[in-house]
Amino acid sequence: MALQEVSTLRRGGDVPRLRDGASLGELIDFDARAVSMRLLSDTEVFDIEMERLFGRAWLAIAHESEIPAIGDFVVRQMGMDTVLVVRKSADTINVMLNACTHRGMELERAEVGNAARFRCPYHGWVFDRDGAFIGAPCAKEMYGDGFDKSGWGLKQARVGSFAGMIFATWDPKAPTLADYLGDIQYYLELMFKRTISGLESVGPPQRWVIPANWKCAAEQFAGDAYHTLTLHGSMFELNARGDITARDATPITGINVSTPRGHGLLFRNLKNIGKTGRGDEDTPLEALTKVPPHGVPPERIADLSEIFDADAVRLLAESPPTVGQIFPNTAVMSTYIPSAGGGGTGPAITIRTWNPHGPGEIEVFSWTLVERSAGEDLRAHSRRTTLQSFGSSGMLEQDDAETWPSLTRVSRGLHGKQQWMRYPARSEPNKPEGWPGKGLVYAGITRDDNQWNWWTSYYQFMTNEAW
Amino acid sequence: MTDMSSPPMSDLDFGIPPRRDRIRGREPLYLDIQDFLYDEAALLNENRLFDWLALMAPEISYFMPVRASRMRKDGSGFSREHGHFDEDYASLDLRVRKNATPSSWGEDPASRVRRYVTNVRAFTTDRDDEFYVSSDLLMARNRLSSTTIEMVTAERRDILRRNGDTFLLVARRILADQATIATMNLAVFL
Repeated sequence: MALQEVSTLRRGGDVPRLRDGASLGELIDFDARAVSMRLLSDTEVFDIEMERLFGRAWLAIAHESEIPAIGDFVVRQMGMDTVLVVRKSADTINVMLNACTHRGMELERAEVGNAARFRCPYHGWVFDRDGAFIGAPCAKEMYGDGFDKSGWGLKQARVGSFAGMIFATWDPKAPTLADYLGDIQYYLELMFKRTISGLESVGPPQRWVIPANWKCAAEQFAGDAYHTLTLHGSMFELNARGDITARDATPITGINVSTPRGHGLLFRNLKNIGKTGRGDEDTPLEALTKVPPHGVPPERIADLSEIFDADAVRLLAESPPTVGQIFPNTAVMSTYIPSAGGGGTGPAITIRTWNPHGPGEIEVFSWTLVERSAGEDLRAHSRRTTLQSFGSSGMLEQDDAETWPSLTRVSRGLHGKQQWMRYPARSEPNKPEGWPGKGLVYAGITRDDNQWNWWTSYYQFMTNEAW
Repeated sequence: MTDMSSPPMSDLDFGIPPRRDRIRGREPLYLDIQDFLYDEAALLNENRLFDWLALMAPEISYFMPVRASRMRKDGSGFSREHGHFDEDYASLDLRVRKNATPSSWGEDPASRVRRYVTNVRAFTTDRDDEFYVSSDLLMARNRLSSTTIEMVTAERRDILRRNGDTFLLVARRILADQATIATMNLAVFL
């Protein structure tokens, strides 16, 4: 279903009905553009999300640089399941349910390691890096001569990767990852594939828990520029950059782009932002040499014209994508942000996932990414700026972590759960002339459209209409 | 006095100078160091962050590595590079000033935080005026009307430098016990 059609979606598909008779179609109001707060704390809704959404969508789970050697593995979450992410060869990564097919114990309880095979600590059943069952202690005595080892392998997920980020899905009917990302991929490449050597993860991801519903974080990252003016007001009160006003500094004056399946990104309009040292006559490459793409070493700017065509380089110079959400729960960021170092600003590059532990708790996995080609100083500046602004201790994210639990608390009340989260600020797509990418493009003031498209995709998954 | 602890885990010092001789608990220097840690915790508990910042040396290095659970043969699981905090003086100063802004919602209302500092062990270093101090920290944090107290426990490895009657903090390594940090954010210092 194309996004233009779903933006006028009404009631369709296999609409779940909850035990008290309420239908999901009544809890998401496409006319008023409002979502019942009940969706933030209802355990039945959560169970349906696990099955229809987390059980089917492509989920980001690891960065390839975390498991560089053959046999390296990490243990990660897909919904409420834990999975083994294993490097089988230079270009094959397997993702398998971390549960022995004998009695169900977790094969690996360490989260990081290297293994030639996975041996269950309980009874000793052994599986190889492909998840095939290869043997058990005293197998002949226990199971006789005719024991057939096939059919005892670990449950396998499908695996895909984009810009080093490993994704997986449980759904055999899901489109390929490239098709799932679709039109957003063109823009994501401007954030995460700007050099030939690419980005790498700085160690394992930060992890921490926030007592909130995962959708609070996910829909916000899909396009909520509006909140930055107030919730992140402290950054303007600090006036860390000295040369910007709140209105200029936030992406509220930028460009929002939504693509099918509810992916969304915010683009900064750099022409509106104070001192960049750029001149009006600069070519895109000259402009990018003066202010490189976030975290890219100046000496690698020449790579850009090898990787991208002229239109994409111009977009990167004038209106780079900075922050957004890959549906359902993977937030992406590549931006300049106030920093204690580097003359008051620095690059923040992060991918993070909102992993539900239930309707009321998110475990955040937050990867800090740096360019492999960056020298030690830029690498440290990029890493430190990212941690200062985002992540467990990040000064902006500290305030987000106050918001999401608050919404979740309200949604537990008799009247709170009947309240609506409203998204009335609406734009018509108004793609600027010469805009090189696809999707619904909303230039000017970023309104609620991206988030609404995120909720539309949510509705499609919850009604089994995603594909 | 024989150091009864496990062998030095120098790989967890993340670049701070090595410890040398144990400073015994009955020595006045040890008591001065312990007083410093208690006074520092009191400033943080009372949210007197600018006063706390005044205890930092200009070259302060404040690092709390990310960790992951690993099998024992694979080591401690601490990342050498990725932190929850990875701070110098300028970034601590920025954080303290951010906390003081009128819109610092994440800590306003402020959390009620209690920091229990125990198991203090002090050592000399190769510099006469600098000391290596290991302590255990239990941070118990409560916010708003929640009945849950969020807790973070850690070993801290500090370098303290003599500064008149007291000390400056030159380096701190915060070695948390949790792989997944069980508090909604680290808008508080450890």
